[in-house]
Amino acid sequence: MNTIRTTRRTALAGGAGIAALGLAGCGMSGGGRSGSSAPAEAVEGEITGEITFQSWSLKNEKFTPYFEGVIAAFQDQNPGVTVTWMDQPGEGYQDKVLAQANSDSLPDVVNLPPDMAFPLVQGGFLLDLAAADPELEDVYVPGGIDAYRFPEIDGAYGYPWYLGTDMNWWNLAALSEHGVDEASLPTTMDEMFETARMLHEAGSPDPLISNMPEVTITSENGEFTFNTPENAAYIQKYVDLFQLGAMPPEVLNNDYAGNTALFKQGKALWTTATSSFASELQAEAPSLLEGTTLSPRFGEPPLFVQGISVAAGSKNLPTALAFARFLTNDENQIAFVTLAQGFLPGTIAAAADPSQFAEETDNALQTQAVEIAAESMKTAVDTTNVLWTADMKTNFTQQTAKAMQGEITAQEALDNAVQYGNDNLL
Amino acid sequence: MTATAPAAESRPQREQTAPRRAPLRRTDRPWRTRGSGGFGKPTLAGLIVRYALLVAVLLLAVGPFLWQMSTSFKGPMDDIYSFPPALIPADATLGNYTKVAATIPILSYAWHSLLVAGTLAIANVVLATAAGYALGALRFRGKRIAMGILLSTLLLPGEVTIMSQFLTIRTLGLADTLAGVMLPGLVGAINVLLMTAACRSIPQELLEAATIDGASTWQVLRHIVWPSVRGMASVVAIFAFIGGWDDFLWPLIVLSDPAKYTLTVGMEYLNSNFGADPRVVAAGTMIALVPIIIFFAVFQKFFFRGVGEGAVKG
Amino acid sequence: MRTYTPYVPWLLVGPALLWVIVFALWPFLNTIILSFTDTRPLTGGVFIGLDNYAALLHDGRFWNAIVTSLVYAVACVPLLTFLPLLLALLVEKQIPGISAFRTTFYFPVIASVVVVGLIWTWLFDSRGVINESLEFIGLIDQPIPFLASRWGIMATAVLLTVWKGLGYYMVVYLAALGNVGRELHEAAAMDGASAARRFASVTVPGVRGAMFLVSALITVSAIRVFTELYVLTNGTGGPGGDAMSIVMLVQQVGGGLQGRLGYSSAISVVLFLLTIGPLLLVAYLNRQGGDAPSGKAAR
Repeated sequence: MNTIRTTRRTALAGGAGIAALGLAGCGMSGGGRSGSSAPAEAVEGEITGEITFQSWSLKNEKFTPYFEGVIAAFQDQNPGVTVTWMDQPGEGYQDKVLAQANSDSLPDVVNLPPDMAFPLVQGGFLLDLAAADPELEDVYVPGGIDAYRFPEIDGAYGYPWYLGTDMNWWNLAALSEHGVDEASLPTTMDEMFETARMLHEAGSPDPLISNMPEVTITSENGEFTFNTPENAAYIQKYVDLFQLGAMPPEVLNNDYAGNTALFKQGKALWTTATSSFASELQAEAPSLLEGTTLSPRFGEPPLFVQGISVAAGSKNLPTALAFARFLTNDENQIAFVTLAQGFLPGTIAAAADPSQFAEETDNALQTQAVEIAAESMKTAVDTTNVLWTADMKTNFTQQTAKAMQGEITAQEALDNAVQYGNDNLL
Repeated sequence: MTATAPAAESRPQREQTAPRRAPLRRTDRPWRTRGSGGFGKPTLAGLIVRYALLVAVLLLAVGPFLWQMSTSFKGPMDDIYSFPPALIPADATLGNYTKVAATIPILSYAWHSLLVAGTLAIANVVLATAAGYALGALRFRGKRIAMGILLSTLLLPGEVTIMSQFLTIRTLGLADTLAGVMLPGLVGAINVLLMTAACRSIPQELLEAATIDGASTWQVLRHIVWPSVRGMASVVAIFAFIGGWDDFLWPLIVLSDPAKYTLTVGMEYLNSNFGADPRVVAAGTMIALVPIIIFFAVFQKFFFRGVGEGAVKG
Repeated sequence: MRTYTPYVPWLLVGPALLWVIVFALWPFLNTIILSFTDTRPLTGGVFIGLDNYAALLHDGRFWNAIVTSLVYAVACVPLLTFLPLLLALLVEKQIPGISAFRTTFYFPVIASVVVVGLIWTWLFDSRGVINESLEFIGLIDQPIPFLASRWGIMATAVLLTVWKGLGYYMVVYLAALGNVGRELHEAAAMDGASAARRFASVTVPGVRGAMFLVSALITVSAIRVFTELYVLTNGTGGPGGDAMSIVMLVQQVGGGLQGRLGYSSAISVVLFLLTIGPLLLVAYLNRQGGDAPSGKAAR
């Protein structure tokens, strides 16, 4: 979820992240519970007792009062209930969740993005909410629920909580020095390549494009299928641009976060980022704020989903489920996205009227970003493919880098990436 | 500052330290102490060169530290990642530091870190000295096996062991406790090897003489081994302390209750979603660095109190 | 001559051994077992015999990573064996302000890796300080792709390792120098030996034990290099993953909730076997040089 959270300490996480692969003897026995032990019918029972709730990197002066308020309200409504809130640091969350799952101590209610929920579901650690809660589909937005439905697994495993998208950010101040103004900003990827070429020829020291090409990872019947001629042609444009010298050589090992980092340093003139990038920019590069403008993503905007899951092994399922629903109800979701400007709530009713959570800010760019996000969200599609692991993603970047250096063709890079993915599917 | 001033000062300083050290040495040859003092005295030109080199290395060493310090004082109007970096904040403020204190319970987190790091430092010094003495100065059956096990640990890919370590800690009932955070690090193979190397340089005759005189193992350790290896022991203390203080992933995995967090883990709250400000993060990092720097500054003085100055010369 | 009771050494070394066995050796046995399975972190796996090892033989990335790691070690060992010793000699003397210098020289060891990575990028990237300076004085026309080519990345990373390691090993040498008799130095100086001569004939033999220990530690940590290469390449291992070390490969294939634990464990086991060789070599050299140098020192 670097897309929502641009960690600067990712490197550290990576360094330590190797630990995730350490697994003690219990790994041999086939993980935790089998998926079938989760109840297949609605969960019923008295709402009482103690549960734990785990959020991810949301404990700060902005959200702490919010969570404390939600928990207090839930406890008032249900006397006898105690909810213990734990917020996990952003760093090392995968390792922490892995340790919790391996030691049978997953919190009852837990915030998991879909890509982390999927392996947990495979191991039988999460509750099927579609079975446990008959109202699921009536209450929550379909795009959000779909993010928690997984290939060849029945059910849905997360309540959609908050949804985001991203957009184009332009360093207009620097672009205008080379004759690009607000009106002539690119509106398609083709124009984008054209402008990038033009800027390079005009002698702009800072490149427009400084990311690696990304394609939508498609798969059918458990086989990856994205090695299409269209994708190859798209990558070829990056190859051409790179060979022309219109991209910095370091792009070959830059990822998404690297691109936004370059933007903040004023070393790249375009990046994509979520609407919270406005406050990030304000905080980290205030002098760039003035000359920055933004526009919607070309084509289909991506949809990022955060959700709330319930542990299948919870000793207090009725209460856990009730709290998960309470946390994600209309009222609490609206309150949440009022704080997290630029994100949409995960329930149908709450998402219907954005004016409920619109908030004036003194950061004009943020206001603009929130507006664009709200508009983009209507067509945003979650293209996350949970079968596509971090390893396959890195391999894809490596293959594309080879193509950009001219060692292999764009088509070969795609074929290799597909091949590697298929070979390593679970 | 000119180089001549320290040169002039260095003379009395040396003479001050000499008498303090003298009692530690064998009294039957005091002339060596005096003599070595004279030898250690640098010439003026030598001193200038030495300081020039020191300053050159200093400049190379402090870059990231300066950048971080400068970031921690930057106000909201200062760019952070501008290039070339602006080290003097135009909009300087102390506000980032107060914000750190307002966001996390810094004293209690720092206390937890201190407990962990301090325990690790003491435990490593004690256990590694004991093991190092046995391996470096004693002869016994199975020594090669013991040494082999320790050496092979050095080679073990540590990155894959954390999850089984956690299950061990959990089995012992120490999950979510500071004791659980400390346990695996109480003695490290590297530290044992360092102490073994230090103990090896103690003259064997000296140890045997003491034993013949009827000294118990404890007395030998206390009165002969310890004075000779204090220098290396301070190195072990520093390595263990800093290792414990800086560790992030292990305390994160062991601890569940945020009230028990150590400083490095708790500091992550400064970096949370929708609310991160690198200036505040930098201020937090500076706060976390201070105790390590103090610890180092205090212990580096002991580096030289090894064999050269112990009572064991001979 | 032995005058202590036989169990005393075991009593002394026992706690350390127990700890190492419980917290390091035992988990590694688990890694060995995993290497014969196709385990994933949350879903378990089955025994697949030597399949992982067979697959390794045909994995180009693996061989590439072995070369990277070994070259890395060959570059780091001499640099980090001698430079910290020189640095230790520089800060050894008690001159005014030396404590402050010693302390600051340790800063790189405790510096945040991310900040260091950021600054390194500023220095070495194609428009970084170094390239721009070289272009300014006319030494080069085109920027040198330090961070975008295999050997460029490795050279830059070695520099980073050395920068970060200097203070660490300096401390070890400082403690060892405490054991070098000042008398020897003095005698050598009176004989009219030059500084270089004294370094070779007095200092080096005096800290020989520490030197071999340090070079053994560097050998192992250099073969296991991870952080430096990871930070400088955003985890990609450079263009095409060419500059990926063994541990980075372990992390890439085995990391995360969906990692291939079995395969990455197999790489770990091979890595373990691979480090034994160089370490034995260091131990052998250590024994070879056993008595001769000290005899020379005492001339």
